[in-house]
Amino acid sequence: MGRIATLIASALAISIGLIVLVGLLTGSTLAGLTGLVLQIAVITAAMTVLIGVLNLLILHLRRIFGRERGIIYSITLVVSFLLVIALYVLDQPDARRVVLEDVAVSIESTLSALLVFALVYGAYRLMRRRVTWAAVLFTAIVLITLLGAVPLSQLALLEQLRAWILAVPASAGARGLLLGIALAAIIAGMRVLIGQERAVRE
Amino acid sequence: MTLDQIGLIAGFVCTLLIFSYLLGDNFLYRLAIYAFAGITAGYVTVVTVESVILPWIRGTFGSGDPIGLVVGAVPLVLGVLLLLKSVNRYQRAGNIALAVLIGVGAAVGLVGAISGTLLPVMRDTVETLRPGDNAESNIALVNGFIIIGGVMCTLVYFGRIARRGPDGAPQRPRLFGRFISTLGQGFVVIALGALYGGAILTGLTILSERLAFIFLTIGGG
Amino acid sequence: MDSTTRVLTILIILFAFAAVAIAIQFVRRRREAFPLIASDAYTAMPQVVGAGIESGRPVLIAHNGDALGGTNTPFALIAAEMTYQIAYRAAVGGVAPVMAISESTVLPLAYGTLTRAHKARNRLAGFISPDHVHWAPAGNRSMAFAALLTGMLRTHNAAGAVFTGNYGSELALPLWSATRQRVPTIAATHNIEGQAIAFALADHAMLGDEFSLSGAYLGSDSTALGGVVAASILRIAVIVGLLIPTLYIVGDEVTGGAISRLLAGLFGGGS
Repeated sequence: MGRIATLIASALAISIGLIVLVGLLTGSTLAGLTGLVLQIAVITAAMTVLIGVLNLLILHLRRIFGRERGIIYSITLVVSFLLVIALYVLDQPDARRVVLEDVAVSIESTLSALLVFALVYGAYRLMRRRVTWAAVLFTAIVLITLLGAVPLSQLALLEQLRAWILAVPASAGARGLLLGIALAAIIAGMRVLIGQERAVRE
Repeated sequence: MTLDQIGLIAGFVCTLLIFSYLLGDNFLYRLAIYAFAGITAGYVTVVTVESVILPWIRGTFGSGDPIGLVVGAVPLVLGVLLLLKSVNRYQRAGNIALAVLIGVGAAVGLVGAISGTLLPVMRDTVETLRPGDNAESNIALVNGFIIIGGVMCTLVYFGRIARRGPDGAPQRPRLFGRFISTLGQGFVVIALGALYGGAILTGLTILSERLAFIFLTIGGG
Repeated sequence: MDSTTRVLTILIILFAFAAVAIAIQFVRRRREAFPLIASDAYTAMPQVVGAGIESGRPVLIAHNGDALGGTNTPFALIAAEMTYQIAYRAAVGGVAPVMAISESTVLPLAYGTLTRAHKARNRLAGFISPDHVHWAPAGNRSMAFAALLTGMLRTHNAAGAVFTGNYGSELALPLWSATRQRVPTIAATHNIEGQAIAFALADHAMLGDEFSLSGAYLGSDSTALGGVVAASILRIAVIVGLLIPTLYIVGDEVTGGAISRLLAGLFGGGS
């Protein structure tokens, strides 16, 4: 029975994948069906947010009622979650704005600001941990990128060097990275279409 | 006290709570991030229900059309099947719904990776060799060669298949291959360094904005 | 999508299909013919899991982004394979990894992956996968998720942390936190900005497509190694694909457009 279910799942993944592929690439009569399948996938994906909410509430409520480690954080998370839902249900746009814009945006941008310290620490740590030619080159490029952005006439040469690095060698490296990543996606996608993906095969 | 003032004070307090992380991982910082996670979860839930799920239900179940009812029920059934993945006993039933998402995603991802990344990046890379007819076209042509050469070296660097050395241990193929690969690594490191520097610059902009917010709030501005 | 892109996409898909299918069959017969270049990150991964088992602490696997059903689905599957390899090793010691996931569509995949790993080790009795998977939404720029990870590292007393999926600069936050707590980290993101952050801050950073090779390095499945061989074939094809137009442009420049005229003569010039 289990084996049949696995076979059905594999066949379904392959056939739906092929239908969508043909629909996307040929724009043929399958295009309508492809559109419907894509729409169903989007709505199904949206449904999984409810699974996520269930997961979030169960895990944190269990931690609260089981008086486990980090109980105070779980209470904070659940209360703030319920607060947003309540403000929506009770239709309180002004209070919602305070929570979503003043509180959430403040936290978010402060976290983004905090990244600077993490990044500077990272560059320092890299050189402290292992002085390899790659680490030295990396740090030199970081410094050139930063100093080259300073609008001082004394640093005009550095500014030109920075512009050249960004436009030529860094651009080449980034393109190579993107191509490598794209190839990984192609192979992974192809494995599904030939029925070799473990997530649906087993 | 008006709602705007409450918002300003709340934002100020939250900013300080997050910055307290600079002194070390502490209770106040974690309180702020868990509150942030809860707010984000609530917001995502509201937006998803309001802008995706409810319009779908209204458009299908609300239409009264029998075909619409069937089509409308499909994501609901798939959603329930996906929920079954959390129960060991019924996991295989969930595979059906998972297969639908994976099948669709594999096709979309495949087309996206080829037409959205692979082909445009290759095309743009080759285009760097067409600098146009200006005074600096020779320099641009040299730069174009560096870019194409760099991309090729990078791709060689990402090669994973080795050859067996005299001791049977896997190693990078031959001296020339190793040289090209090291060059490729250099290009990758330069790209990563430039991206890292860019990330610091972006962070500095946001940091200065946050510090300005703190000083303005303290000064009552 | 214009017609040229469409035709090229179809040709590449057919080529990739042939490469993957042939490579997998070839590797099944002669697996030992394809040794892999050593990878620091994949060497470290079982060691991190082993240290976790010894200390009775879980490894935190944090997967950001990559919804199933969207264009990033292949990356979600790649991350699921890495999760499987970690969970499979951790299952021996009965310390299942703790997963944090920002995309709700990946939750069912994560449940299934953890269950499969425990089943493969005959450790399924009493194992409830949802207890080990935490959903936390990403928020703008994934800051909410990244911030929560800094808390989870401590709350779960993680023995190690593996970051998979789509991280940008926000990856710096959990990596910094892990460094402060002396938690070893492995970063396997497919975002190039995230790879830059990982290069400096992670103990082991996977660059380029290295994040996609967990099955080949850690598993015994020939399919995964076949994928590596197929990727090598495609990589060569891309190099050739760059080389041919380059030679054409250079040749045209040197000969004053003779190659263009020759090709126009052979295939008919468009007028």
